[in-house]
Amino acid sequence: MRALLLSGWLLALPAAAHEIVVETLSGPANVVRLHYADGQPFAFEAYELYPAGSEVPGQVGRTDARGRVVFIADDQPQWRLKAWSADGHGVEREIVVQAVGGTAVEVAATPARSSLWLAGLGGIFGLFGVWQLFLRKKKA
Amino acid sequence: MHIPDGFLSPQTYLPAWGLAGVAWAWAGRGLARRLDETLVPRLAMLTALAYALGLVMLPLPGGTSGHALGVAVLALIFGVRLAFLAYSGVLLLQALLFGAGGITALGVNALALGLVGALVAVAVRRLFAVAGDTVAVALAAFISLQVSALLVALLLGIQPTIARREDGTPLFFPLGPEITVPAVLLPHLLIGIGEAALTVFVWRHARRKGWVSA
Repeated sequence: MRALLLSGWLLALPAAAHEIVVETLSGPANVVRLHYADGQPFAFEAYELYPAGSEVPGQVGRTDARGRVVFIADDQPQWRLKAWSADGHGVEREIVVQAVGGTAVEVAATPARSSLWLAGLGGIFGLFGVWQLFLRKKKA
Repeated sequence: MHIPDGFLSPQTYLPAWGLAGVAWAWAGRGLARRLDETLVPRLAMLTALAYALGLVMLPLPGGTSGHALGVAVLALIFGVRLAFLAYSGVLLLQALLFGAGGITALGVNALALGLVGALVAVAVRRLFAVAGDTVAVALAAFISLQVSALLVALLLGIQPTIARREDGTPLFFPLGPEITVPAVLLPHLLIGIGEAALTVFVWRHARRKGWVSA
């Protein structure tokens, strides 16, 4: 009987290796939010997150309903995020977390969209304006 | 519909840059002679319209967004060569200022949206000229957008086949044409209706003013 119990216990040992242990941890993470220019979230789309210099992703998955990617940077401050939708929208962007393991989110300050929009219009009209001046000068 | 950086393999974007360079040289030949004082302000205005259209994102069913192009209206009023040059400038600005479309992908975007879009618009308008101006212009805008969208979808869809790691995982855009073609084309069927209506509206105005030179 003892031998039977012992052999049963020994056989159960390898089975324990297949058990998935769930631990709930709480701690700081980094959050990157992806959205279309009109504010609509880039929701439920695929992404890959690579540590700097690596061709192997450190994290893959889908953005959440609000277009967020949440990850823990550990001791790696630089990451490359690649996200895409089936219709070809997407982004590949370098991310530098402000504090390793901290809650701060990357994203460098960018000028307001309206300023860029006006800058583009200015560029178009400026270029054609110069061309017009050139034509007038040539005519005169 | 602009393809961003990082989605195309060098096997795709390098030849596209070369081809686009040849096309830009062709389109720019004799530009000074073709652009007169009356044409420049009109071209500036409609180039600005195309630029603005590309940045107005319309929410579409399925949680995605899309925008009109404005290439057809440029092509139908100014011809393929000027439309291609002007729209390439628009793509460059959108890439530099907004990250809408990439610099590496600029050659592909310029060819697929600017050149093919303009060529198809002019060809379709001629093909359907017997149906009347309004129908021909509307079809030109609608079909040119669909052809450009199809081309973009196919270029994205072939990436997993032409560039992959040793283990078979795609290096760039990972989805095949069976996914990209419907995903890109279906929303553009809706956008195409808006693009057609807008093109007819602007084209009629241009014709009344005597601007149509294509």
